Amino acid sequence: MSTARPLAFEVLLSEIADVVGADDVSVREVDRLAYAQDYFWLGQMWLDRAREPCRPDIICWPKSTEEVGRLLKIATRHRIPVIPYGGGSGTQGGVAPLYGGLVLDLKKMNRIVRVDAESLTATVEAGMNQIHFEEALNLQGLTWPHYPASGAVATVGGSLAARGTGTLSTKYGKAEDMVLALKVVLADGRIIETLPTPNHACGPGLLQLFVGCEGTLGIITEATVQLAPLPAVRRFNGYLFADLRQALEAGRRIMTSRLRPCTLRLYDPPSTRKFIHRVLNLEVEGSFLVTGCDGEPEMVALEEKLIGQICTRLGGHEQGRAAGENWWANRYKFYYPPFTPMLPTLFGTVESTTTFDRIYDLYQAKKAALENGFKEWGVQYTGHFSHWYPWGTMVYDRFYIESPPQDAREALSLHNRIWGVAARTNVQYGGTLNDHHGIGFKLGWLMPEQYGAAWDTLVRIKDALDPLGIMNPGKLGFSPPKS
Amino acid sequence: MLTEVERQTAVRSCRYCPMCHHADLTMTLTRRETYSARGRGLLLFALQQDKVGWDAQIADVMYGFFADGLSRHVCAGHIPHDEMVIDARRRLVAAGQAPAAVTQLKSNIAKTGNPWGGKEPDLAALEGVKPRSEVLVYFGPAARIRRPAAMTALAALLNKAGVDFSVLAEEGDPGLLLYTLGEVEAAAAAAQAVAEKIRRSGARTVVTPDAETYRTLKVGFGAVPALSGPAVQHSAEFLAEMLGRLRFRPLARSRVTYHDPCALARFARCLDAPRALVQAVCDAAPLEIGYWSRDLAHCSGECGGVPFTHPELSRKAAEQRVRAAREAGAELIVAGSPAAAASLEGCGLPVRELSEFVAEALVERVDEKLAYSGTNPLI
Repeated sequence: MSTARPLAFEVLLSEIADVVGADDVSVREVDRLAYAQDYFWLGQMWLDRAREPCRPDIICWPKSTEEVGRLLKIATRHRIPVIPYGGGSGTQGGVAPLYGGLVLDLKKMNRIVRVDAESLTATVEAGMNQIHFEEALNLQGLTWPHYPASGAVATVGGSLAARGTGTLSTKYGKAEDMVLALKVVLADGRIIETLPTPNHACGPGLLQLFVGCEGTLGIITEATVQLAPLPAVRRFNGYLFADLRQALEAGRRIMTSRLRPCTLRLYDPPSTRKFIHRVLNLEVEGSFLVTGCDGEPEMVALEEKLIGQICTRLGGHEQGRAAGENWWANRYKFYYPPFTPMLPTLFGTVESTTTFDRIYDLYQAKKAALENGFKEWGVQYTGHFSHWYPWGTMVYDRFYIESPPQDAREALSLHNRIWGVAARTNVQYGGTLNDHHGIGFKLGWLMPEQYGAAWDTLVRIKDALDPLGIMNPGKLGFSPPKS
Repeated sequence: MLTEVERQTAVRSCRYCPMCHHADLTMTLTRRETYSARGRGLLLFALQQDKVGWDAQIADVMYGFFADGLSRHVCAGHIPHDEMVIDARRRLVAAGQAPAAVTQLKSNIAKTGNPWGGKEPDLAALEGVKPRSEVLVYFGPAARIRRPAAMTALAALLNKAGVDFSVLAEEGDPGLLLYTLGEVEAAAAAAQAVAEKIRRSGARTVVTPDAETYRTLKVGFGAVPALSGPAVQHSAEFLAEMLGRLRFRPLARSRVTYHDPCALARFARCLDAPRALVQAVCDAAPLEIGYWSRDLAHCSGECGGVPFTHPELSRKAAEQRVRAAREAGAELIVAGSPAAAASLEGCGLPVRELSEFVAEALVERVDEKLAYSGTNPLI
């Protein structure tokens, strides 16, 4: 930023410094650049092709909910966009400062406010790093069983704001299922709290209005979450199926018979070949299924036995505990370079959730649409089914193009075209645009198609809570700021 | 030293991947993306695209990093983030943009043999020093200048244990600090000079309490190879081998933790010998500092030249480490190097360097192997 800044900007800076302190507000170029990026392929590609990234104008680091409230009052008065920033692990451009503005990095809000060891709940500030949170809880024999691949980076608030999930979700639920209450700051600076418990008969649930809002309706600053005791045992197993459909049926029977594995992760044949070989050094062909159970030893033994019976009856060959434990020990390795896809590869995770009766058709239709529809680009497609519900499952699928266009606009256009086809296939087959990566600005344009007539309801809520459109503008499909 | 291909791979990986956020000490202390591995990678990539220049802001980010090896250690791809940043520092030095503290430190080493410019002690005057011996003790700059108590404790310990040892009249600086600050050529020259002096001493074993010296001599750094010729032992390893012949008085304090210096634990895998010593003295295994212990130990604030370029950051690191030790239940911290002991001192818990700790408890050496009744599996 030039040293010759307009007077109004200097006034704004001084007001922000008055709230957070001069050391915790920055307009340095290095900071503006660092906050221009997250884990989103498009932003990375844009920079890779020497294009100018979207930089925020100002970054600040509030230390309390009250400071966030005062900052939003300032932002409202000056009509500037506000982008909340957690760990920056989002893949959908959820924190991209599309219109510049003020980034509120919440990582200094990282205190554990209270642990209730009787009710097994914890109240924690939004900027708490998830691994640090887990370490602190483990010392007390407790766990927040939300183990996302991004746990090394992601914050508690970020997981809730984007409806994240983790490797133990099949038993413990997604982040949204583990939250009991929130403290939220609205666009005008007002601080509100949702009801003390998530289950009630006191009208609609405000809690789930702010969960998943990606900072567009308010900024989550504090959350009360459900904990669990550290399990006495947690064990994994591996099964190999020749037929993906039979493996999916095994998963369905496990879930609909209300067994509670903490992990079911089923790799389709291409991803078994691409990832299981490379990351786990397991020479297997077919569909590799990891199962995991945790809790009291007697319960775990029984669940393992019943899960094993279901798998074997449907043609699954047990690969032994070592195969499953190998996966657990290396479960995050898939997401580190060089194992994770990176530039120059063009890729995207087009995952979705639907019911058991539609999941195989959705998977097949999307695979065909991408592989056949973009044959000239040599699209590769892999998928695994990793978060299971009593009514259905999600397919975590990706497309890859090893040699994408060099021109930034062409690459962007191709990326969007592929994603558009994938997302519309998801919706067509009764699925959602997304299960747990969020919408950001990547999928925002498809939100009206996802919601249909109900979209206008969401827009009205947005307009009521954020009439100036300053809250993380351009995300979730909402309009740019009105100022 | 990275090849250009390795450097490019590191920049491209780190600019994209944030998966060591939780482990990056500067990130943990500042809570700022800019000071994360991803932030550094991104800035180095932007430098290649001329979106930013080699200036004071870049220098601030690159030198505000501990180069403690933890990012690489937790990275499943073992991307050499430290070396990537050291390479950036080398370029900053070449561009004349390194912080003034770096120039001052280099000048101090040239003039006095230590980075602080402090007056060097007369090592030959230490009690029991022999003119020549099979065992050479190399104390290192931190013991000589910042933590002389560690130096005298080790000398006293060796005397009490009946070990003949010699010293170098002028030890000089082993060079690792210069290397991490981007003064690559000066670092190599310093390391070579120390290696030559050690070889000329005729010693068959060189023993050092200094973690950075141990890493330098045992493993090497950059283009500097490990010491050829004499065996290299950390003082903990040397003393641990004698444990069966040493008698200790019981310590009043039992809630003792051991802090692993980065250079010792992560870079040179010296983990068990220091613990064996603490266990022998306390007759109980040292408390571990939670998840971040052994080869995952957080830095005491001493690494990467940060105490010289960003002293406040270094202090915060030390305070955080001591806080973590206290939360683990410790009443005393035993540090595996004089530098770490000096860094952790004054942050809220009593600190002893390993030799100091053992020397306080050692009563005598016995000629016959003791009938050990404790729990130390190494004895």
